[in-house]
Amino acid sequence: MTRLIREPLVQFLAAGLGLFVLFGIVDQDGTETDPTVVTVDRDALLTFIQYRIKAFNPVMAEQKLRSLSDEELERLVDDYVREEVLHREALALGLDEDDYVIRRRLVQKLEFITEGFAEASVDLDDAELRRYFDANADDYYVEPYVTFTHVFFDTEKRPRAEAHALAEKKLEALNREGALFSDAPKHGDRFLYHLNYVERTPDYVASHFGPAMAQAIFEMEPNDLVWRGPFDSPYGVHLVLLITNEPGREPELDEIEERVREDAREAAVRRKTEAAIIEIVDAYDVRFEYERDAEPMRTVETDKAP
Amino acid sequence: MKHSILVIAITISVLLVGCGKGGSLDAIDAASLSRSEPTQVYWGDTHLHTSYSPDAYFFGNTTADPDTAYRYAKGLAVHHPYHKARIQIGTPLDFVVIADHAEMMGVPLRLFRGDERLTNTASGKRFIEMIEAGKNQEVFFEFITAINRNQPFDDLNGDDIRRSVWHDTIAITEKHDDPGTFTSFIGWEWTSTPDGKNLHRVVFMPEGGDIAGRFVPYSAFDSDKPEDLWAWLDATSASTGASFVAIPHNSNISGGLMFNDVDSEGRPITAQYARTRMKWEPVIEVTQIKGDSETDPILSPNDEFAAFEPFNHALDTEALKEGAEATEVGPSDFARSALRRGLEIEAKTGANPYKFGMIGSTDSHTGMSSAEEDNFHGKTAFDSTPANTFATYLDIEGFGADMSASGMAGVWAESNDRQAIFEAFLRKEVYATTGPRLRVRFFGGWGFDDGDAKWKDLARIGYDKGVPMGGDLTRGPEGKAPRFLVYAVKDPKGANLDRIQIVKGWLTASGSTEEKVYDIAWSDDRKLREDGALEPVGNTVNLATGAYTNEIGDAQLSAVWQDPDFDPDVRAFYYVRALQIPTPRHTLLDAIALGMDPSETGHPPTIQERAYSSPIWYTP
Repeated sequence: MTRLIREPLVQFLAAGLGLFVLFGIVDQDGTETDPTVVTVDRDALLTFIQYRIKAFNPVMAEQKLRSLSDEELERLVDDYVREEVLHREALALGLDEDDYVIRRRLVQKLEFITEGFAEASVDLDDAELRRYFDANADDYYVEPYVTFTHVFFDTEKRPRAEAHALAEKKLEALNREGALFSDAPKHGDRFLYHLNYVERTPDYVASHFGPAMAQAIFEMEPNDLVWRGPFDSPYGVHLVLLITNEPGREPELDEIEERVREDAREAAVRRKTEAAIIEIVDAYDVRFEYERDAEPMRTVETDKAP
Repeated sequence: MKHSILVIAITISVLLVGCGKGGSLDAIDAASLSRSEPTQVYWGDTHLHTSYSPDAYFFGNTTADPDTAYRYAKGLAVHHPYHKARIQIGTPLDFVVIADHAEMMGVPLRLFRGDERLTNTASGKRFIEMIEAGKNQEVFFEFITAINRNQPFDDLNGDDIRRSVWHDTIAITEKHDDPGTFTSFIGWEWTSTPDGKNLHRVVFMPEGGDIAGRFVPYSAFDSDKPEDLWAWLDATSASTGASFVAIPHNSNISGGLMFNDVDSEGRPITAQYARTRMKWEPVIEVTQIKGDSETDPILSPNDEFAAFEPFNHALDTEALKEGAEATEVGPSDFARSALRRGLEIEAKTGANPYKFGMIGSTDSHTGMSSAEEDNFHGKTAFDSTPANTFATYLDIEGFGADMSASGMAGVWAESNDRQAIFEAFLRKEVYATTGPRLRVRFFGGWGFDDGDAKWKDLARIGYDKGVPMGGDLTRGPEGKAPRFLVYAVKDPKGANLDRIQIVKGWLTASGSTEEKVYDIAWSDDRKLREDGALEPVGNTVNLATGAYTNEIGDAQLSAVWQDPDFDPDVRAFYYVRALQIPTPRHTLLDAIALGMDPSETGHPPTIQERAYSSPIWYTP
């Protein structure tokens, strides 16, 4: 094991905080700045909002602030405190700049370092992996897929009703002759996408034939002896020979263990990083001095749709 | 010509004798399943970086390794290395070349993950201390400077570590190769940047790990001269049985070097140089996130679509400070002028050094091959969020906004496997798009009839009566001009088409060359203006919402075109450029997300994505 991995995350963060405390003692001339106090007042929040929305308009920021619900305000305050604290920590590491972009970069830098340490100390056992997999089974769903060919009647060449009549007649003929999958190219018009669709998912089929026809295909039982239709797509009318229709399924853990392990690791790193940052923030005393108005104001509108 | 979006859902339930789930694929002739046309288009990215690339690592991609990159390309959801959200590609890819930089490949990742072969070295110890002090950026600049200057940290560049990283890359690539479904190629990037000028090449091979494991990738530390790279490819090919294709890219920032008329020693290009170059470099990457290299308004003043996604930042800012020239637009820097120069050199020496096909690819450094404007995950991990897109990064203001989601390689091949796709590169039956999956067929010949563009088996007619993109024509029947069969279809999930153009370049009697762009098919039954130009297609993008509609443009366009200015005695090339209707650029979507006024982004809110085919050459 290396020095990086041996060095515990908390030790590293404690060292950072230590630096800061030292800095705080030396910097006693600063009259009202107690480095371990974060003051959340109106000015701080207004400035914060303007930076966040990247529009330097105090009136708009004021409106925005007043329009926040309790929950939104709480989130804004949490974000502000987190950013303020991480910024001071970063400054304590000697990364001194006073520009907002640099400030965000510094905060990200410390988050990145914190995360790097969290990453090195994550090790998952099989039980944890299984728990993660069970809780997130939806993420690993395997899509259904179909294999089919089709005969196409272009509605650019004729009205849709006429295309339907042609298709009905062709359907009868194809089934009478027992036309095979490989006979499809002999019939109908040129379709702009493909003739044969092999093991294609609902999303893919829908992007070529529209959602309604895709749904109809995925609802059919496969049958390689019977042509079916007509089906309507945005481009025309289709007859379909569906030879496979594999339903979607949830795979077993051992089929996809590597993927799940990486995702679970990622989730664990994020949890640890978050916990570490909360630990830093907790070392600060946050004084909340913003008096909110009695009624939340909900009149902020911009001329842009959401 | 507009298609009705009205879909009448008619479900006729025919519940006849079911043959059970799973069906009877065995009963079907396998050839008829995959080969309804002589070739199929397969989509790929030949230029993708992961956390193994030192610059990618310092740009904030510490987690998306080659395995993650393959999973994203195959359509699985992965976590973005920077903002950690779960993301997924819009349409999965068919093939990928992971091309991590050969120089210090995997070194930062392993160093900071604690590989003792690296942490115990003097350089390793120093960098770890710098990172612990939060000096990531300084470490990054040291690494990049070392790479750009060809001065590796010797104690971090040992044979042991190089071999170990390379074998990891090979193993992951082999694991993901699934012939018929998804193809992964073994490859790397040779990162030659003399004086900050980009001469980079991606190198890839169709063989597997048994062959690739017998060498370590040739890097710019070995030599920054392309001639030396080709000599190494030649020798390695002979000693191991490997085949290679090297793909030059970002000629737009090559400072006049990429398609020069002299070699690395300043000597005029000879037939020998031309043949060697074409042996190893049959295809170039003409468009990618870091700018488009088709042409420039300075070189093509009569081309109204020439000003497309320029990128004017040199790679090595340190070298620039020390007096190296900034990027300038010249004929050595763009594909169209290089194709022209190739005709000129061929007339003089008997061989054409720039008779190349064209593809696009991303050059993404996030591990995410994202060429979708509305699903773009950054050039680097850092510029993946709306706010960071507009931030100053690497001393460039709005670094992320200067680039667009771009680069896709379309390959016409018989099947989706290493050999078939590699062979398509060798015969240049490949083409570029700036992201969307535009399907483009292009054939040249002497016998195409006007009606051929409408036939159902257009592709078969194309192959029967002519040559596909990448091919050659020579003397035809007396008194006839060459005819071209062209067919373009929109991205099934994307925007309609505006027009198809043919770009022609030809040699004049004086030995210089000319170029001309012809509109050959267009949407919406538009009429040509009196000067012969076509009215713009219009723009449906809503600047407040970022939405667009397909009420303009056509889903498909096709034509047979005959060269009206043909001279049977002069060399010429022809390639297709197909344009989409305007769609939102990623910066518009980012501006909307941030509540910014789109006009303040410094970039056009919309973009006309496009495809470039490989050329067909006429030689008397």
